[in-house]
Amino acid sequence: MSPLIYYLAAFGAYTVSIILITGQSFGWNETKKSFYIGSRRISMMPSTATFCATWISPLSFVGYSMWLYRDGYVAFLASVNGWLLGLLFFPFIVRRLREKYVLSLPEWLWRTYGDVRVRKLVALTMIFLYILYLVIQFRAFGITVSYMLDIPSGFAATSLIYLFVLYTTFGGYPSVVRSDVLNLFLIMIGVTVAACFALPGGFEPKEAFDVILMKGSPETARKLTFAETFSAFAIMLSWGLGVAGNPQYAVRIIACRTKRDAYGMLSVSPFIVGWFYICVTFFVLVCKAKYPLPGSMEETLAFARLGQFLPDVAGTFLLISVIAAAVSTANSQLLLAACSLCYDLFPSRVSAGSNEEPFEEDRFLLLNRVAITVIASIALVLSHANLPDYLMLGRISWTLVAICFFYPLFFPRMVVKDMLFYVLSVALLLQSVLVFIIGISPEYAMLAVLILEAVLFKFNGYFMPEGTAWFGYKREEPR
Amino acid sequence: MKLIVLCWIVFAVLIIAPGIIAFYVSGKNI
Repeated sequence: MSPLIYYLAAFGAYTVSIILITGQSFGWNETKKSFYIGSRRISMMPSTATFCATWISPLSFVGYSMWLYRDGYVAFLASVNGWLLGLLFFPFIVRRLREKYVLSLPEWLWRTYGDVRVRKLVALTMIFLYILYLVIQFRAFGITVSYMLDIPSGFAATSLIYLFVLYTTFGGYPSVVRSDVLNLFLIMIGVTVAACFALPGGFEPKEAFDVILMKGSPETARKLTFAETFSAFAIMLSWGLGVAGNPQYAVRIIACRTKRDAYGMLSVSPFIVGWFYICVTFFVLVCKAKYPLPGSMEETLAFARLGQFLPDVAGTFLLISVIAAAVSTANSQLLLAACSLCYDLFPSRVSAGSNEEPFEEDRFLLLNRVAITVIASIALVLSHANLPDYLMLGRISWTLVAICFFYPLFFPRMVVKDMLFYVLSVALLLQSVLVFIIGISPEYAMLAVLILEAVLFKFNGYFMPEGTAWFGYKREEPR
Repeated sequence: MKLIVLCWIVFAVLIIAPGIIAFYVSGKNI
């Protein structure tokens, strides 16, 4: 039977499952709190599912796989261990994040540091970086679907994710969580099946072990140069800090029902994500050893071609898992970008308890859905623009995240409240100049900018004598 | 080969460590 039949059946089944599962979470009495963080009533298991499903994106799946295929274990060291490094930071911020009862991370910054300009600056940055990040998801989805359904790669194929993502994001956080449970399930099945059927003669422990250790490959004898080692550690560090400060994980900590659920989620998630990386790494190393790809091709297409070497059913599961990874990450990021735009950048001015409040809430949520549509449309258009590859877009996004959130989240005692807005403004401006104008690698630029931020906070007395206000601005403590 | 072994050791530590940290930070209440 032609693989196209399997692909069509799998894609149809996925579409119906998403509609059935996500449709149930559209509520009649929605509030901002239920829309953004599920009223903080998400228990440990669904929280873990959405945490892991959001983690696994086409960048950590396809981008990493093709880097591993090309350069071997340097990719594993820099990206997988880099991302996992970020997980170590999360347990330290659970209490801090949850005690303010906020709906978003920019709001948390405002309530913690008392400067509404910081909230708006960070919200604006989040909209920019999540649009960049959405481009990755849209592009990967479009290419995978065009490959699966044998339709031209272009607007038609990419538009399909538009429908998936709008549908799953319109229901807010509860709907995202429901779809993420399904997506994680499909991702884990896809990579596990791919790992099991990757070896041509079936799974055999000794052969598998040899593949993992890359025995017989000339790459194992090669020593990394100093420049390669430094670059790998710089990427590792920047991606670790990017994960640690990423609002898409912080919001999941905030949305957990209890602190205990949050700690449980952070303890279980590394094992699920770890299993995912073991399977993907094994599958790609087998392909690297046994199935050379001809010439250079677009990375998602190259990954889809690797799936061809699997039996038809296993290959189908693998491709569906790429789609699930794209949808699961895209809807979370779309919700966060809409939240940054509607809630943090232009917050509602109607006071609690006023007569207008119930109508205002409905209007506000409608506005959110309009914002979701607009942001998704921008990402859709940009996914066809000539932007850099997945890894580069991810590097730009992650470094911006680290610059905005690293010190405020993890070293609050170091942060000088009155200086925070100026320090972040200078840091973001400098990072943009270094990366986009001078052309320095985002990781190196980020390391320099983080050092600058630390210096500015440390020597604040030189820049701002006690009792003075920067440019006449008076910070107000949030009520 | 050293790089490969190092990668997997670091990986194993990073998988287990968050749970241990969370256990102690939460006051042994998970």
